Amino acid sequence: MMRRFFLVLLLALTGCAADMAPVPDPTYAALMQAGVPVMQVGVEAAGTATFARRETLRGGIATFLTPDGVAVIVQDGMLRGTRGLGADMLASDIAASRELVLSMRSGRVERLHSFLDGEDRAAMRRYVCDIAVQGPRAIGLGTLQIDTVLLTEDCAGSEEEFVNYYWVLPAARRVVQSRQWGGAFSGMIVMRDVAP
Amino acid sequence: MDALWCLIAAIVISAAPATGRAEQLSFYGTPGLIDMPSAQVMPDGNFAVTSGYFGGNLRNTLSFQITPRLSGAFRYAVIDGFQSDGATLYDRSFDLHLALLPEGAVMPSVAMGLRDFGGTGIYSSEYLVASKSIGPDLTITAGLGWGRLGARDGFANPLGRLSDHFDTRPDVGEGGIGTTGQLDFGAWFRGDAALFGGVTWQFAERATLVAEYSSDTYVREAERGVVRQTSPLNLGLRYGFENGVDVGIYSLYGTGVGASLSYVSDPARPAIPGGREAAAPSIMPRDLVAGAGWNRQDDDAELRDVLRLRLGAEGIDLRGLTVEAGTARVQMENQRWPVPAQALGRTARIVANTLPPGVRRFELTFVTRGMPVTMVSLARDDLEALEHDVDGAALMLARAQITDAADVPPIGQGAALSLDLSPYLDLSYFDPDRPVRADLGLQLSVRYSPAPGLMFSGLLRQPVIGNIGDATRVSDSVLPHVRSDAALYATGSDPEISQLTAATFFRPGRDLFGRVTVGYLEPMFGGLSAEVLWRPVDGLLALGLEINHVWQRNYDQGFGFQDYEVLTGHASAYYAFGNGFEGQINAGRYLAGDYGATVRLDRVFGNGFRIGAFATLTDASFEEFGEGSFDKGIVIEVPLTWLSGQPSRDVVRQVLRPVLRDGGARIQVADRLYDLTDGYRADDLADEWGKFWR
Repeated sequence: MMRRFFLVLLLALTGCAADMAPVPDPTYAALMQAGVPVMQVGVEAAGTATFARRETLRGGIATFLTPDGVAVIVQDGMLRGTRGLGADMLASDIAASRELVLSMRSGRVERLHSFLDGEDRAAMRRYVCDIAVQGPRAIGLGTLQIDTVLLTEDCAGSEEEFVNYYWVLPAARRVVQSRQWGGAFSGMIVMRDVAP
Repeated sequence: MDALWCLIAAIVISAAPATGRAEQLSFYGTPGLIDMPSAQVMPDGNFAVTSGYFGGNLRNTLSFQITPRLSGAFRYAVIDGFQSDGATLYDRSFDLHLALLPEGAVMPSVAMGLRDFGGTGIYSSEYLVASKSIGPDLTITAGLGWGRLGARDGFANPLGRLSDHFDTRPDVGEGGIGTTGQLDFGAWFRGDAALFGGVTWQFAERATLVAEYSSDTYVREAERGVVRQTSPLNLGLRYGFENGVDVGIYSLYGTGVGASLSYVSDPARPAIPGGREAAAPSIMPRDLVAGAGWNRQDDDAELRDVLRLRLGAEGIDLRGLTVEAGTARVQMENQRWPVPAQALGRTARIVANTLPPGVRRFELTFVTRGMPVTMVSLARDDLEALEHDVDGAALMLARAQITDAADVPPIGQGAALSLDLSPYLDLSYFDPDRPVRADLGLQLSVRYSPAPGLMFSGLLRQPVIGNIGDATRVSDSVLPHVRSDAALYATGSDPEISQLTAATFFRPGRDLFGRVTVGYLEPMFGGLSAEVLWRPVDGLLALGLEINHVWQRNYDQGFGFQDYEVLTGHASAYYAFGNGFEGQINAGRYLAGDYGATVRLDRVFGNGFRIGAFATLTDASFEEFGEGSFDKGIVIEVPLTWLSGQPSRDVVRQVLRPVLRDGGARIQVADRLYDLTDGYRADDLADEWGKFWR
């Protein structure tokens, strides 16, 4: 499981430059000029990986746009929602998870997601999650080697199960690399900060 | 994009396969064994297409699970050499299947059904059937059939104990063409009955064996030498592919080999749920908006230009903007989004990212054809607070005020012109000489609106290739030929004026809408059309009144008219029953001068996928109407978005009529008010509110 995951992450994050869309979304093109923060984003099921640029930061919640107009909404590196992947996660309540992950503690929490369904309704889902500290991990961000702590969040709901992985930078109290579940339709999303 | 089979192919290609495909579709395209029905049902809302062929019998069936218990089917059968002169028979039939009891731990599921209850009667039969699964892989079915299903070793009808009425079955389809299409309820469950049954065994994950004892002796097919039987036993093997396509091969009645192909789709599950269009702009911090250049100017001109550009980039036309006392009033016309709530949500975010921070309330008004339709008032604070709230859709809806916009003054706008050149495909079905005919060509659509509420539009068609006009059957209708001369309108290769009209749209009062259209309304008729619609912003009922004085156009679709003129019009009632069911009744006078009413019932999915059926009865007698006895049909509408996952207001629409005759025919006018306002009233907005934040 873990080996396959690392393979996918590696493929997704190294193949990104070749996958850049030739004609970027106009908003994205403007963001390229603006010099805003950048994140690498890969959607495992679609086999895509690209650079996403921050469009908005409001109340601690950041919206990153990819060249093809997909938005990934994160808070301290933790996924809050998506737009443009299909059956999008419209929003989520991850307050309890966020508190444990950022303070690098194990424990049991609940999280809520609302997804857009095939009849254009927002459908709320509840999950019970076990967060576990896996220990320190050194990862490469660009040319930098940085020391992080890896946490896993093992979630089960009435219809789905998934495991999120977070690499937390202790000093900044933020997730700098992750593999998080975007929903039954979009699957796992991998994200990594570009040199902080 | 008109083609039904292209549409079905597109659905097959783009749809996610339906879940829970435990049901088995028979040769009749409905839940069953091979020729025999079972008590199973498809999952609610599923839609199936089946083609089955054996020994000169081809059956193409569309079936739809209308409610969890009731399903309906429409079938087009082609039987080689069935007619008395040895000619091929083309037959249209309708079925209904009703689940009576769900399967229990001990009790089997029980269902009853009617096959071919309104057609020419060749498949006319009724059944009562029970099915029970034994373990996960085996299902046993046994039933009692009447009519065609009561033929093999038939015994005296058990219902005869209730009444002598059931003892003998009147001959159906023997009254010649004049009786076809009438409901055969006089014959239902009458005459001899017989037993049938069978077993299905799912021996591998995707493979199923079927064996049945058929009570159908194919009496008339045997008389005409189409089918010969040496055994009542049929055997089949079915395989279900991962993409939702099922194939089956069969040994039938000891003498024939058959094959079937079916596909089950769930309209509630498009290929890309919720679409894959680019994200909307997210809401910026208000202090950043305050610093924007246009918010530091004295007049609103630059602000208006920025808003127009930003909305325009999202396919929303700004029709007006006023800002006063902390409230912004925005009028906009949605040109792109199939779900109005999505257009609303995008407008709200763009307005929040553009207007100065002192504006606390947004009054957003949907405008269509110059008419202000519905106003939605939103607090800027709520937008900011709920954008990333897990329950943001429901809370935003609860805090939005949705009201009628009749009082919103229309704001003048510059003249607008749009031109669109595209190919078209026209289809004509069920001509016995050639079941599908098609015309292909180019069409130019022109719309010009010099002022709000005034619209000139034209549709010019240049046929390139086709064979609809080659139909050699001359209309034998005794009614005025208001529709049955369709082939004559399709002959010739000169440009055709399909439509050329001037129309005005207005709001006569609260919850009222008005329209007057004059010109060449449709390919076969021109004249004057006036309509008023009462559709309250909150409410499930709408009422309309339409009156038309029209003249029949020349076959060349030029400027000339024929002698026939008629005053036609209807009173209409529309009702939303909930759970996606919508009903409509039109009562009045039809094109041939006949008086009567049309009843229509639709099931509409939240994503806009629509399947409906209609029937019209008028004072034109069944004899006067001719083949089919009365007008009826099925409507299928698939939003282009459902197929592509990309936003579009286009809808692929097909009306399937067994026969198009002159009775019960209604004028076709563009921009009927119910259609124009559909989706923009409070209940429709609320149903699709999930897309507000998309």
